[in-house]
Amino acid sequence: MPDLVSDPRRPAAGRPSRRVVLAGGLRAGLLLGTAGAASLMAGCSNDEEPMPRPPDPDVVARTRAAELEDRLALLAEATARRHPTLASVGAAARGHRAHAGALRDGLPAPTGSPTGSPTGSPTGSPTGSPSEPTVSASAAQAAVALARQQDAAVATHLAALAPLSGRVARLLASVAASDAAHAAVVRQARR
Amino acid sequence: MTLPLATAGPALTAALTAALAGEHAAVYGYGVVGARLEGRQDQVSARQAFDGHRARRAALEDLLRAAGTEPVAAEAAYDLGGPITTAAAARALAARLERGVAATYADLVAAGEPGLRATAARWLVDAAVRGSVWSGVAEDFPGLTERRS
Repeated sequence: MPDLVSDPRRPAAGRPSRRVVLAGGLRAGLLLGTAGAASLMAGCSNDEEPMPRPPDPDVVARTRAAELEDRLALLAEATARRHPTLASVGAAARGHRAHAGALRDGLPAPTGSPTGSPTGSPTGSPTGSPSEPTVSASAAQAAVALARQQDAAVATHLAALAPLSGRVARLLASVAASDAAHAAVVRQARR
Repeated sequence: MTLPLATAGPALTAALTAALAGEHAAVYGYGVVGARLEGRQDQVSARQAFDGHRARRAALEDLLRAAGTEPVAAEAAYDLGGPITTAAAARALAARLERGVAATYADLVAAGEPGLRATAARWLVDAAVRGSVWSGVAEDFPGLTERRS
């Protein structure tokens, strides 16, 4: 059957074409939908098809909060490099790294991250490229810019607390409080 | 802020009681801090903190009564860890008082239902900010005694 082999649309061995993948995904989605409807009608009894498990709010919140702390750490590190006299900024950078580590502690590997992008999507972050945030040439302005981002993170963390387990809510509230404290010290030091 | 009676289990009542005990100590301690900082610029900060902690104390007493529990009373005196003879010692005491209430608010975040949790988290933020202003250093995990270095 040489015709089949030479068919340009035939996927290479081991590499399904996009069309095949899409069709498979669609079929899986339809199956899930059918199973979901069936289990609803059957009152969820004798349900052999496992329902798709909703993402664990603790895992989602910890992942998102850790990504936010990563971005704060990048900004604080860039600010500390540009303005080495701002000692409180270096301390803040270490704090944000510690926050990210504590939030990720015990989480599954980031490949299964429900937020998608493993590098940390810049949702809501005006700091620009994650590789090198822009830092003002003025130490006072750079300190204020960092403190503003830290205060914004406080609000984001606090808004995420409600659906969480007590243990994770306690950790995230402490991280928020620390961000606020670092912002206060950074603002104080600029004067 | 009201607290539905049905949600006030033993863990929540214990957390509220611990927070109230912490505020009793803070009110007592800030009385000493304010006296030692008299005439100095940061006496205003001590006065504001004193008033803030008295308000928290009243709010916690209301919450406990709403939950059907008699609020714990203040001790006659508190161990301040030595005589507060200098302004530096007074500021260090103020920072220590804020660390104390922060720990109780972190536990209240864990124990509280959503409305109270949000309030407790705000109070934890306030304590961390005040503590960092007194000490000049921001803690990385305020309130989490198990992570304190």
